[in-house]
Parts: sequence; structure tokens; C-alpha cells
Amino acid sequence: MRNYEVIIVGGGHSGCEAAYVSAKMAGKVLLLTGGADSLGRMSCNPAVGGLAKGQIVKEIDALGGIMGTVADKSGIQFRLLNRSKGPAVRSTRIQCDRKLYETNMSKALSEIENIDIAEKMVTGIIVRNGRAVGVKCDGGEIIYGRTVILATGTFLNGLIHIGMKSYPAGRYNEKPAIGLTENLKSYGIKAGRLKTGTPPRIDGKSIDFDKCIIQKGEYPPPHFSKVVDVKGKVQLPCYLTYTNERTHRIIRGGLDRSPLFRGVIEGVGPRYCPSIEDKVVRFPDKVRHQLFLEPEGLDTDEIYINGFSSSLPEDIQYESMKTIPGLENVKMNRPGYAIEYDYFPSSQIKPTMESKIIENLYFAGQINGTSGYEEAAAQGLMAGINAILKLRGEPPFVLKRSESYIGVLIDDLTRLDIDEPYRMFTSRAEYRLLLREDNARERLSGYAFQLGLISKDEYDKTRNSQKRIERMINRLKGIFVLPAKISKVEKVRKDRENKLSLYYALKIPGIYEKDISKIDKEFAKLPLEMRKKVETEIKYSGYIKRELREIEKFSKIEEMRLDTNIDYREITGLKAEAIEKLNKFKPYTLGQGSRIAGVSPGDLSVLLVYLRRRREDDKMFPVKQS
Amino acid sequence: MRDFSLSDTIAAIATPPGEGAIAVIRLSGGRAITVVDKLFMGKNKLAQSPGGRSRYGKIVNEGGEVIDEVVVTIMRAPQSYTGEDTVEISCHGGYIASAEILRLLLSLGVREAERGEFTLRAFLNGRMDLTRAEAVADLVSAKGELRYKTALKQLSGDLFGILKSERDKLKDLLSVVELGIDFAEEDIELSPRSEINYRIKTIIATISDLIAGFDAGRIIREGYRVAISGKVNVGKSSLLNKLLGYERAIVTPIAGTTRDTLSEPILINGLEVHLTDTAGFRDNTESMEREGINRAKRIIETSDLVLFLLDPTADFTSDDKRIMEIIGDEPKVVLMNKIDLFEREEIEKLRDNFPINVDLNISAFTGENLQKLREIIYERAIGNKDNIQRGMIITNRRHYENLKSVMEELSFALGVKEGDELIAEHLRRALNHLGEISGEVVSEEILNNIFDNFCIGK
Repeated sequence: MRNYEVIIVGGGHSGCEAAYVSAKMAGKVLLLTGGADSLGRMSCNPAVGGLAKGQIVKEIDALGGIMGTVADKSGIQFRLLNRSKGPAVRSTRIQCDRKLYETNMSKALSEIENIDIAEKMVTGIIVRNGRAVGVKCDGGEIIYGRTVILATGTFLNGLIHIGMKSYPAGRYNEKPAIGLTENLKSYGIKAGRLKTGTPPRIDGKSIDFDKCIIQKGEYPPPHFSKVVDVKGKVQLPCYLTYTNERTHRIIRGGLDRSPLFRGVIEGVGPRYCPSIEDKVVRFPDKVRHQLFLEPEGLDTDEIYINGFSSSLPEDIQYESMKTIPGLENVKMNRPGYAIEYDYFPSSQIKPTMESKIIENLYFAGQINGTSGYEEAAAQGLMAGINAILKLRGEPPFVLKRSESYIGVLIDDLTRLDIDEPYRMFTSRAEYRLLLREDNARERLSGYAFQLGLISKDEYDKTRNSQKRIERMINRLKGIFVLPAKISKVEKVRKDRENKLSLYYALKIPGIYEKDISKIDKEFAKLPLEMRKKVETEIKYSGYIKRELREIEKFSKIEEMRLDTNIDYREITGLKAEAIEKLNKFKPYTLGQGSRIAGVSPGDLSVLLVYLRRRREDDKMFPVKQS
Repeated sequence: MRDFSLSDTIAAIATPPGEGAIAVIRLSGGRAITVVDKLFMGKNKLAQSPGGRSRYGKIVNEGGEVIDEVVVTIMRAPQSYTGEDTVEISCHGGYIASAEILRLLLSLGVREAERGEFTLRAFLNGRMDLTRAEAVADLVSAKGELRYKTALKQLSGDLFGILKSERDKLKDLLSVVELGIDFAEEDIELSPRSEINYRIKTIIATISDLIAGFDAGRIIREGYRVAISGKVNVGKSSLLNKLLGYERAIVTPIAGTTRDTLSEPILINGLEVHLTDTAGFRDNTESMEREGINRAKRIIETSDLVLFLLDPTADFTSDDKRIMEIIGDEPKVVLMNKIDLFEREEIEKLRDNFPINVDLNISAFTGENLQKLREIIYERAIGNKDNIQRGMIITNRRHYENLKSVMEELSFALGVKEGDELIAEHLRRALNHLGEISGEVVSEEILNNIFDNFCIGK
């Protein structure tokens, strides 16, 4: 039997990403899944990216992950959301062919050496001296590995609800994972229960699309990776339709058989993704709710009815759908459902995704209380990287809030009490203007190169393009023209005699790269993507300078390390609430501690004093580093 | 939480408030020396000075005017109390000079120190005895908590309610903008820009009222500053003495000091009023003359009210005119003195001799109408009585600075031409500043607000 370096439990978005990067970093990897034909399965909506999530995918891609490439290859509709708003909040979203995504993911993993994939259900972790050394499978088989990454998604004690019926399942028609939660609890790891849901899948042939509003993809297709050519991609449209009062009446009539309203479901569901019955009850004044009809693939007629997530009985789901324009003769392939599953509150993991209780055991994805493929993949990526780094004895890889959404995500996981599935929003990022899709590579490819996840060539490309952009920005500062040269500037400037630099001109609202291209040939020669970046950098420059100053201001406390062995009860001067929270989350740095709700500036001063004192003590009584 | 930083350069007035002979402003941090250099006029730049030395010179303001003569002591890291570069500026005592110097420092990006922050830095930089560690920890945290509580107490009555309600309005507004950004695909009617701007403007209106109230608050805390001005022999000293209620010893200027202005406190209905005589106009030599005018200018600028005395026994001269020009648009009360020398019926006609409206006729000699003058001063000091009675007075300088930043960010938000994310950026900063007074708002709260009030979710 091989002794693996990394055993990954679960082949969803998190597990696949973890397997991909850890194998790329030359680890011997075993990926255990309930179904080898379901790797990277999209159990809910068939799309990757979207607001704030698009940024995450770009970051995964920049760090050498796989999600962006697979999404690009499997895309059947490509859009850039929030186009009317500024570049910081624009996000790519790709509707994917569900089957193709799974196929492309399997292919990507099979192309990497060092990954074994096996169909096994894991029922326990083997722990020796507080350290995970392997997993126990259904039937008693034991597989040894130096680290274990748990990425089991919604499978742990998964319970599907449709009306008042419920049955154990991990996803639709897939068996749940039983035993693992109990095993982890026996080591002192706390578990909780969450809920999520999914809408019915319907037959496209039964839909009258003429009654719906068409929404087409964009050309050229916005996409995530650098390596996939998406130019010639066939794109399918999505359609919009709406519920109405009749729909709502039928839904209300079924509430007596709703597991949600009858108190059958214990787990907390996400408020940003409520079921249709929840929306109807909570917002009774709303006369209609918007629904998106999204294709599931190129060679299937199946349609995903986005916005109609439900755990009502099948007959109510069916009858209410029939009142919706375009769906009068709808054929339901399978009903929507709610699923309850176990998760492990993320105050129990370190910023490296490693468990605080069992060494070399990592938690990634929905098991930490998050929601979304992208959030899951990001965690898988970070867990995979850190598992390998730990085995190599190298310092961990933790991203900061100021440099990535992934940093925001993991920092939030390790400092917030999460009691509903956590999803990323751009408003969670205080340095939002810095964390853009267009500069993900500039932000992160240095790390990716150091970690060996991208080639020198790839890294150099990013650096060179960055240099070209910087040079161009400087160049524009030195070219002066009369306002009359740019017609739009003439309108806004009262003073028509004084020349202005092209840099300054680009700062003026309403002036864009194409206006500058007309004046400066060198600028026009840059590829469109770079011209846009120059535009963004200049338009945001004042804001960015300010954000950078702020980051600098907090960098000192951001980097001060806190020992996770500290018992905060022993520090005199801390408030009771601060003691409780600090002991719960055991922050790694003072910066992280400062963001925990309930820790005041006064508490922070006390911690500073404590740290200083510790340093002095260490000098007097040096402790050998283990 | 956001305000906590160890890399800032901090400053505070280190001497207790009052009329001591000398006031000391202390700065600590990496930029301490360079910042003071920008204000300091001496033989050499401070940057060239070794640590542990004192330098004599002048502090000048943005306009190049001399604020005060000072002695500046430089201590370089780590040989200082805090272990960082430290500068101590010793200026003349009293409120005016030290407050002005502190204001100039803050305008150059220095942060006002938190209570106990110098001590904390001293400790962190290893400049303090280790055995005192726990004591310092107790002290700092106790002080921090106390400061927080005092700050809350200072927000008395309606004021706290108003700040909270403005904070909530701002939170709702930011939620609406964030909704448009993070939930662009939802079927929700978004507020048009005109409505967002309207809502920003209503918040600006309230905050600017509060800012205006800060002056009233400062007056209550620090006293109302009244300058007595007028040409030679118009009766300034007599008026001062009469208002003080006793014959003040005549002060002989001490050679070498430029501060021959004297400030004396009186109480009017319990309000502390500081009276300052702008004497020193009479010097004949040209350079002294200029100095005298500068001094008068400075006193008038830093006063809340100017009493401008006119002499009906003499002509309206170029001296009067010059003083009038110096006073300019500053709040003033024009007084015609020496009315005891005239018959009652003559007095009204005398007023027409001046090219300026006389507000009140007085006699500093007999004390006629001085009670009325006291009433006028009080009324001018406590202009917005409603606000005071309702406790809506900002007295804390930090709160005042915060509110000014809130205003600034809100005006920026109004000015954003394109990019909702930029409006959000300014609103978020405004909310952070407001949150420092009335409780922090975190991003989770904005999201909660959105989830609770809008039907979200595809």
C-alpha cells in the first residue's frame, strides 16, 4: 500500500482543487470520492463566477488552480456582470455545461501525475499522537497518508427534504457520508447543522420560451484563464420569467406541508438564497419574483430554474410552476429539495485550513460553513498548498485581506461566528478597489511562482505586462495636449487655454481609453486589455493611494504574531468578552485579533503590552524552538 | 478599532490646561522631527540637530505668520521617553498658542494621541521598567475604557440620539448602494442617483449643524475669547478694568517678550469670558509698528468676538481705519466710549461722525451700559440657545474632527460622477468616522440590513 502525502476526502470543487495543486507541488495524492464519475459536480446552479465570485476564480487561476480553466472549457454562456459599474465590481460569470465540466475536471486531474482516484466512503480519521495519519473507509479498510483534507461538502449526515418526506442523501440520488461526523466529534471537534436548497430541473422542450425574455451571452466571451481559447465558443441564451399572484397562492396553500415552516428543518439556511416559499412569506407585498431559466448543457434539454429553490411537496412545486409564463405545460425532471448537513464551525481551523485540534487534518469547502463552488475551490486550493508546505517544513501560505478575496474569505472564517452558509460579497472586502479581476495576476502570480504552481514563463509574462502598463502610465503623465484635442474634455473644462496631460485627461469622468487611443499612437498600440488596465489604474489612482496608505498604517499590528497556546484568561486587563472571543478564535496575528467582534482598542493595548513582556521574558529565559 | 496604529506620529498638549507660564506640546513617532521642521523657523533645520538638544525659534502658520516664539527640544530614537523620535515644543502658556500649534500639527497628518498612548509606546519600545508591565496594562485598559465611557457621557441627551439616527440613515444609504453593486442581477428597483444624493444632503445638513455647535461647546469648555481693540487712549484698559471689577495693576512689558497681551477671565452668568487687550499699537518705529499690527491681528483672529472702541472726543483717524480693516468680517461689537463727557442729547448725533454703525454707547469711566455690554457678550457667546438646552453640543475635539471627516467624505460622495463603488467607498469611510463616535458599523451589518429589507436570492 502506498503511503500518500495528501489524502483528500471528497471530489467536489474543493477536493478537486486541493488534489490539483498538491499534486502539482509534487505531492503523492489520493482523492477519495463516492463516485469517480462525479468529480467537480455542480450540484446547484450550472454556473461559475458571478459577483465577487468571479474575482475569486481569477485569483484561483492566478495562483495556478484549475477552476478557471475548466469553466472556460465548459462554458456555454459568457457574461461580464456589473458592466455599467466600475472595474472593481465587474465580475465574469460563465454558464457551464454540467456534464462537460465534470469531464473536463476529470481530464485535468488525470493529466497530472501523482493523483490516484478511488471510490470509497470514509467513515473516520486515524489519529496518532494528536496527528492525522490516515483514513478509515467503509468496510474497515485503512489508508495511510501524512495529511488528510476533508472536503465532504453537504454529504455528512446529509438529509434531503421534499415536502414532509425526508431521506438520507449527500446530493440528489447520491448516498450520504455516515459516521465521519461522529468520529470527528469523538476527538473533541464541534459540529453544527446547516441547510441549503436547490430548485427543480425541468425539460426545456416543455417550455414556451417566446413568453420569456431572452438573455444572450457576450462576444467576445469574457473568461477566466489565459490558456483557453474561447473565441469560437457556441453560446446558449438564458431566459427570464416571473412568478405571479397565482403562483404565490398555490405556494401559500402548500405551506402546511413545508418542512421549512413546519419546523422539520433544524439547520439554518442562507438568507441571500432563500427558497421561493420563504420569499413569498417574508415579502408578501412583492407581486412577482424573477426567475432565470438556465440551460444545463449543449446536448441536454434540461433547464435549471434559478430563483425557484424549494422544499415544498412535489405536487405544489409542479402546480405552482405551471402558473408561470412559459411554463404552462412544464415537465418536471426532478423536484427541488432542501438538504441539511453537518458542518464544523470554522473557529476550529487555522488560517492554513488546518484543524486546531488534530494536526495535519485540513478542512476545506462547505464543511466549514461556506456556500458556493468558488468559495469551496478557494479553500481547497489553500488547504492543498498548506498541507504540502507543512510536510516540507516551510512557512505557511496565508493571504492577506488587502491582497485577495481569498484572504478576506479565510480571515472571515477564522474570526466570525458563522451561523448561516457564508457567501462572498464584494462589500465584505474593505480594499475592494484593489481586489479586481483585472489585476488578480499582478496581485498573486508572484506567490504562485514561488510555490511552483506557475512557470517562470507565465510569471514573466505577467511582470512584463505590468511593466508595460507602468511605463505607459508614466508616459501619459508627460504628454500634454490642449483640451480641444479631446472633444469631451472641452465640454467639461472652462479653461481652454491650458494644456493638460493625457494622464489627467483620463481621470476625468467620461473620458476613456478609446479617447486617448485617438491621440497617442503608442497608447493605441497596446492590447485592449492593457489599455483598459491603464485606464482603471489612473481613474482609481487617488483611491488606491489612500487604500495603500491605510494598509501600511495597519501593517505593524497586522504582522505581530500571537501564539495560539495563549490562554487569554491569564492576561490581566482584558475584558471578559474579549477573553471569551480570543480564546474561541485563537488569532494568529494581532491584526486578526483586532477584527474579532468584541475586542476593543483597549484590549488591543493590553495584548501589545503582553506581547512585549513575553518578548522580554523570552530573552531572559530563552525557550528552545521545537 | 480602525484608529489603532503604532506607526502614526502622535501629538498632544502635555501640560495641564490653564494659564501656566509655559505650555508644552509633545510629539512622538517617525515623522515627529520632519513635521515640526515644516512649522519651525530657526537658525538651522531641526533635522540637522542631534538628539538631546534644544533649539530656539518661531512657529509659523500656513500663511507664514508667527504664532509664537518657542523652544524646541529634540530627542532621537531610542534615546527618548517613548523610544521613538520625540519633539517637545515649549511655547508661551495659555490656550491660544498651544491650541494653534496643535491644530497646525494635526493639519500636517499628525494624529492626536490617545490617553496613555505615550506611556504605551514607551513601554512597547522597552523604555520602561519591566516590573511595571502589569500595572501599565491595567492603567492603559482602564483609561481606554474610561475614555470610552466619558466620551459616551459627553454625548448627552439628544445628541447621542441624533448621531445614532444619522449613523443608521447612513447605514441604510450604504446598504442601498451596496445592494446595487452586490445584487445587480436581482429584480429590485434601485434608487436613482438623485435620490441617493438627496439622502446624502439631508445627512450633511444635520452633521453641519452639529459641527457649528462645536464652537458653542468649546466656548462652554474653554471659555469665550473677547479682544478689546481700539486706538491709543480710547479707553481699552479702563474698560478691561471696569469689566474685571477691580483696578488691575498696570503691567509693564518685560523686555524681550512679545507677549505683552494679557488675558483675564471674568464670569458672565457662569460663562467664562477671557478678555484680551490688544495694547501695543502705539510704538512709533516702523518695524515695531508692523509687529504691533501683526500681534493685534493674531489676537483678533483667535478671538471669538472683538470689542471695537471708538473715541467721540477725537476724529476718526487712519489708526481707526486700520483697526477696522484688521477686524474685517470677524464678529464684533462697536462701542462708543466716553459718553460721560457729553450731554445726553448730543450723544446720538456723535454716532454719525463714524463711518461704521455703533452698537452701544458706554462709559468705561462711570460704568454706564456695561451691564448691557455683558449681556451682549453672553448672547453672542451662546448663540444657539436651543442646541445648548437640548444638550446638542459637541464638546469633544475628537468628535468634532470625526464629524468634519464625515462631512468631507459625504461631499466627496456627492461629487462622484461615475462608479457606484466609489460612492460606496466614500459612504463607507463616512460611516467609519461616524461609527467612531456612535458605535462601529461592520460590513456584516450592511449585509444583514440588505437581507432583512430586500428580497434577495436567485
